[in-house]
Amino acid sequence: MALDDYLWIEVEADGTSSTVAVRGELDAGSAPHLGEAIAQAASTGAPIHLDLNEVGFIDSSGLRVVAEAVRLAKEDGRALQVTAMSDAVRRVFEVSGLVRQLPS
Amino acid sequence: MTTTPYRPSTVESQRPLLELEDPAPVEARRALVPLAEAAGLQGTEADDLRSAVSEVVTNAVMYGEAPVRVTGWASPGQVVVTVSDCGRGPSETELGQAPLDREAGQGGLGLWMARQLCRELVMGTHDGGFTVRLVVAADSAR
Repeated sequence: MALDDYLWIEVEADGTSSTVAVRGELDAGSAPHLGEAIAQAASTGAPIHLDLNEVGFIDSSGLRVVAEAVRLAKEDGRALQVTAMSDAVRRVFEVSGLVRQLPS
Repeated sequence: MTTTPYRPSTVESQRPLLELEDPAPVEARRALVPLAEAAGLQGTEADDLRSAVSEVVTNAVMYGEAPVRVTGWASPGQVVVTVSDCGRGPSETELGQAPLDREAGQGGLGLWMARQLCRELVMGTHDGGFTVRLVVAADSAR
């Protein structure tokens, strides 16, 4: 089965912030890669913008990775913002209640 | 483990539209598309079916025992999917009754999510292992 569009992550740093843009599906198989990408972006200390607008699917494993990244950023006093999310992602964030934990 | 005996529904004696053995969750999600279309589920309904089944398949793959079997039936406005594995099912504390922000451990979130997204989610043990049955219905069929 061809899974070319399973997951694609791009990290862009412009000196003042890092943008982590994700496209594809975040599940137990792929979500750890997002965790690594966020950790890598966080190591620079710059604010992180997480763009989930092109994520067509997210499951509880993906939610945990985002929740953990938000928790760690808060703990370290770093800024991490989810700047965009698709309708499918928003639905899962709302059903899980995690939407309330996202920094506004 | 859970000791509730599994009670099959009548639809399970009918010929299924979908049969998968040991699918990766991503494969199961893609295989659900024709099932949702056959039932006329659209938008959020189809998304909820995809999410709920994906969570249950992930649990079966990660915590159950192979082979994992996914079987699906479609009727107008309704999809029924069973996910079976050869294990003994989750423990009472992992049964997905708890929301995301509970403190103790992380287990059960997927099953809890699946419950929120389904019209019906039942599970139980039987001779061959453990089965979860999910029913997702169109708003008009609720």
